[in-house]
Amino acid sequence: MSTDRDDDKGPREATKKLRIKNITGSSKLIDFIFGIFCIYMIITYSNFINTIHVPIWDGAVFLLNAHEWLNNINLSEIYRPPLLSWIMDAIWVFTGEDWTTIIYVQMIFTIAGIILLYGLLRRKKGALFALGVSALTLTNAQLFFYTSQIRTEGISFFFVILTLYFLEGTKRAHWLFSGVSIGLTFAARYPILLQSMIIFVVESISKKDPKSAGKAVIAIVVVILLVVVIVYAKTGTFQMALEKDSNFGTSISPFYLVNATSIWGPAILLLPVAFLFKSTFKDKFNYVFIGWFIISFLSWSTNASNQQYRFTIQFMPAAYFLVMLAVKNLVKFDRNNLVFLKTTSSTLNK
Amino acid sequence: MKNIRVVLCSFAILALSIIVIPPFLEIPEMGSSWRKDGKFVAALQEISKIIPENEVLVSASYDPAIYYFTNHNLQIPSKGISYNSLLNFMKKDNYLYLLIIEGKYNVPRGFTFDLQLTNLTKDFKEIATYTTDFKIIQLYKRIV
Repeated sequence: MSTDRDDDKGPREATKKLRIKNITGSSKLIDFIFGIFCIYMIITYSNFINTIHVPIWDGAVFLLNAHEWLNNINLSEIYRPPLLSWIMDAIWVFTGEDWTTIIYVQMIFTIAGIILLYGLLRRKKGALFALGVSALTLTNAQLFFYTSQIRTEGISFFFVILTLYFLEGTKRAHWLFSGVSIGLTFAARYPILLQSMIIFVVESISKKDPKSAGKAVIAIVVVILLVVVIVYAKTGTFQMALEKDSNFGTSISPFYLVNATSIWGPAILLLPVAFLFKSTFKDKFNYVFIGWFIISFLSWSTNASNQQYRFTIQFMPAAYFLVMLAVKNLVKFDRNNLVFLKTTSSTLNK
Repeated sequence: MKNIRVVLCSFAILALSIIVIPPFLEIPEMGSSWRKDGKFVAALQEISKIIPENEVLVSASYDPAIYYFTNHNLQIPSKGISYNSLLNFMKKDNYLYLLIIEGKYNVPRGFTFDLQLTNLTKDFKEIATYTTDFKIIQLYKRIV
């Protein structure tokens, strides 16, 4: 039985709900904010890139390699992945060899990756959630700095996101495209193949479509073989890294754990909270990000000789996805959602 | 309950902003300041025009930026070399050009020449000197 007071409460609640929806839930408003954010970031990137007048060591090596690919000279550093140098050459074919024409390449790939990420997460988790993950990722200082340079972090980041985007597509042809994208991740930055493969494996398991997954595997193998054959034909060998940098699997280093707040900022402290809620494990989509984060984190931690903040760039979205998941669970806090509390019978009846 | 959610939501956005903004403000300070030297690349490109094609450039350390922008092969003498050893090193393979970079400069895999530059005038002729924002770049030619 309702009272007059309760009756009054109905429309008031509805208005309030609408107002909240208008503030936080309006996708168009969030899209607009995201658009403004992207424009702001492009301006910030451009301003920062324009202050760099000498390419960093690796950037100069990629310039050299691009020059050498273009002029059919022996490569200076044969273990560098070739895709960035090929992209430079493709630009230089039109502009002539000028290093200033390629300084924005990484920025373009990174922003494109963020737009894809936003579009995907908006569809799956809502606009506000997508904005949170995208903003945290793109404003990360490590990601911003290294994707401002002539390097491969931003390009490989883009192909990892593109892989995920295609795997979340609805058409069967998307599997084939995802295979190509995984192959290009390898061409962009060899070790990042693992991250695209994790996403592929998790999606393959959850979607249970072995025929399409098989097509993707064929595409992966073809693209990787093509890259290896081209590099082999050019250099007479195929080397993926310096020997001193490839000591994987000997022991687990706490480097990324100890420096987590310096790498991802204090937001990372919320990441473990995501695992306290049952809802984290209910949505199959979350498993992609859980697997992506945990395996990438562990794989870099097993490199005993070369540990750097920038190695975490490609799985930044996975880390911030879990952070946002924690925030979402905290905002919608429900005691029965906690993993260590058994659901009571009354709750089950509800 | 809704009010609590709005408060929590606002708190979350505020907390994330506080988390994001300070590290982001540090970005302009990231990286070596000498990479912001606006005259360095132009100086190296000038040097590339001075040195004849196929001539090797002797430098204290290998830097791919010098190699790329001068467009000349670099030869790096062994670490801790003396003036006489440098001279012999250059005479042995008939290297003519010596590049010396002084000032704020990153030499991650090499070293800087510990030479008394006054000695250089005996055996080298100064061809060009460039004063950039952070460095002095000197190009010498060995007198033969």
